[in-house]
Amino acid sequence: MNDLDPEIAKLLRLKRYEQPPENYYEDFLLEFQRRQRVRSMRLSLWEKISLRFSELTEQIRIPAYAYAAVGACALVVSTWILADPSTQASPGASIAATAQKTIKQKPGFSLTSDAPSAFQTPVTIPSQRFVGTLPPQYLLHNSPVPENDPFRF
Amino acid sequence: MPEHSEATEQDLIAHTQAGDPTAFDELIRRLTPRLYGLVYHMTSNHEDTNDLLQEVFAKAYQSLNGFQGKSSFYTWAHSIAVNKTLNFLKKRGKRHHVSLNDVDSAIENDPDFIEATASKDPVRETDIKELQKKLNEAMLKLSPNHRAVVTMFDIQGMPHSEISKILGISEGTVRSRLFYAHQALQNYLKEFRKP
Repeated sequence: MNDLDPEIAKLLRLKRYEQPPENYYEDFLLEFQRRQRVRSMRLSLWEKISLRFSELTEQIRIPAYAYAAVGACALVVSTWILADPSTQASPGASIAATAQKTIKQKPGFSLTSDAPSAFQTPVTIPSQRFVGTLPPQYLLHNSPVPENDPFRF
Repeated sequence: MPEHSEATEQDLIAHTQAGDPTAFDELIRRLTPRLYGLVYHMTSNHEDTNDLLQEVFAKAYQSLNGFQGKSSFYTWAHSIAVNKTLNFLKKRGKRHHVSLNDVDSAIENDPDFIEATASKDPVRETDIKELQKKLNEAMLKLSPNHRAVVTMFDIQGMPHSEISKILGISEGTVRSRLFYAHQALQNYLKEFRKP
């Protein structure tokens, strides 16, 4: 059933005879071919590859269970990583171990040695716990500072 | 004569998918007149129609390898054209292009138009021309979705089932949109219609 006024319906049907200018369709095809040539010349290698890839992926229908399988794999791998005892040591302990190892590797260096210099290079004292958060401790000047030192504060 | 002029639609698609661009040229030749009418009556502008059709065929060519034949190529190409045109109209908004009169002059030689105006009554002929002009204006006032269904059903004569496939909506929705579009058209043209 058509609820439209018959006269309006007839005028609308007449509109199907409206046509573009003469030779439009042949010119349209030539224009299409020209645009396609320009487009293919402008495409970089990467664009061509990505275009081919997107065309390929459009054809591949990924079933819903594939997403579930990937999710399950990710869960298993992350559980295995978290459950591994070798990865459970505290980060502070491992930093302390690294620092101690570094000091041991320096030949002839001792925290108790009498250094001849007036000022020694600051050395970090490692600690078993919280070493990563505590401020470094320094070995200060060997000789006492005079009391009349104008710059003391 | 073009190389593939006698080939079926399926053959042309297969040849194009196999890398023969001349087969796609034949598909363009066959589809352009139909798609031109569809896009033109939705945009009411020849230049916009031309640009949109170029984009439609470029998109169809790029995507043809993914075409699986679940619907006919005709329906598939119409879906691309309608979606591209609806997006274009939504971006264009209320900017109206009335270039219909240039094309309308062509239908004055059409047998149906001659029959419709054959009353030899100059008053009635003027009325019809005036009504046609107002009809074009009224079409431009419809929303893009309503214009699409009126174009496909009333102008191009497509059945509801075909329109529902092209738009990806139910036949009930097509009927509903047509009903409201017709109401709107008749309201716009109320003062120009004879009692």
